[in-house]
Amino acid sequence: MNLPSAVITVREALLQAVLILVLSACLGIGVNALRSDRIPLVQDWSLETQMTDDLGNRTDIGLKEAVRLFHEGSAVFLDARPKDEYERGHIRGARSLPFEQADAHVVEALIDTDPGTPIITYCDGPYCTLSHDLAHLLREFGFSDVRVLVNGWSLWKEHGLPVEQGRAPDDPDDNDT
Amino acid sequence: MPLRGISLSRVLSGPRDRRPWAFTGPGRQGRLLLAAYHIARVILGLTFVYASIHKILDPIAFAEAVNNYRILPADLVNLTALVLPWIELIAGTLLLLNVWVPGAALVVCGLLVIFTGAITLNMARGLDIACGCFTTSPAKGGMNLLTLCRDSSFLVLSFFLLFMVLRKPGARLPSQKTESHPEDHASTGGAKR
Repeated sequence: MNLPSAVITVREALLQAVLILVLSACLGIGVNALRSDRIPLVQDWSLETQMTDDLGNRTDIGLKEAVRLFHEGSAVFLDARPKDEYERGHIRGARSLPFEQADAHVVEALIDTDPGTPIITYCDGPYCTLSHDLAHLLREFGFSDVRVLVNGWSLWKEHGLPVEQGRAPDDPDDNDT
Repeated sequence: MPLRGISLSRVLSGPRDRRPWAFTGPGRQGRLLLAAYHIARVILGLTFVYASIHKILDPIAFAEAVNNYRILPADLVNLTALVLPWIELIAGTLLLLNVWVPGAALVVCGLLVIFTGAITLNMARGLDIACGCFTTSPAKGGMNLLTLCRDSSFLVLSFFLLFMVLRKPGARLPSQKTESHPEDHASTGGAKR
């Protein structure tokens, strides 16, 4: 059968593409099955599961509880967003610890904080992952009571809770101003 | 294999009579076109192979990156995270080896359309997530306009590559002179066999 050669080329391309996809699927799933650190093919990615640690404890905190700790002054609030967003507005008294530089600044940000002190991390938006990532990092640093206030900044503003602007008072970058 | 004019052996061996040197045409312009084809092929190949490595090594972190995009249903997140890097690796390797280029170019082009769409969507949504493009570390690689520019450039390259491999053999760019060459006729004739 004489097909125009361009049609044959397109069909060849499609067939090759399908073969590439099938081969990749076999390799991807096969290699995963052979690994010791394999991941399940289907996993529960719901927020509820994600906010439970290995021991089954919730890793998030409700607004009411967070507000209570805020008024008690017993918790440290950590803002995981980039510094410029922190300076434009943050929960009053919160410290800035942007997740992107958190590794290097955990110690200076929490030098006066007892490992058992309640720590509340937040960022902005229901799907923002910075606060979760920061909480995870802090647990690795040995802080035992770290919880995430999901969608913290928006929630805090919506409820008219105390906020402030500008740099933290002990920010070393503040000296030049 | 009778798939209306295509045999499996043909697909496996690649379009022998449609390799670029048969259809970039004669002269300086043909050589430039051929060079551009190889450059595009190698750049995309290296990029895709490089991008796949982190993802294959750390599927847990990559699955999280995929999930953070909030595009796929939860049940497909892990499957995507497992298979996608291998598609990148195989398509990239094929491009580097210059075999199965039509199929690999089609796959790469499709992936880049999806990637660019996903990044655009999440920038429009204002979602502050890691790109997960070349590194699975959430601390590095946030997304910005630069990410989008980079992806769009790759997309243009892949369209060019696809255009090159899907062109009719012997066809010339409109700008090329239509001087007749005996070997062109030979390659065009061969394709119709």
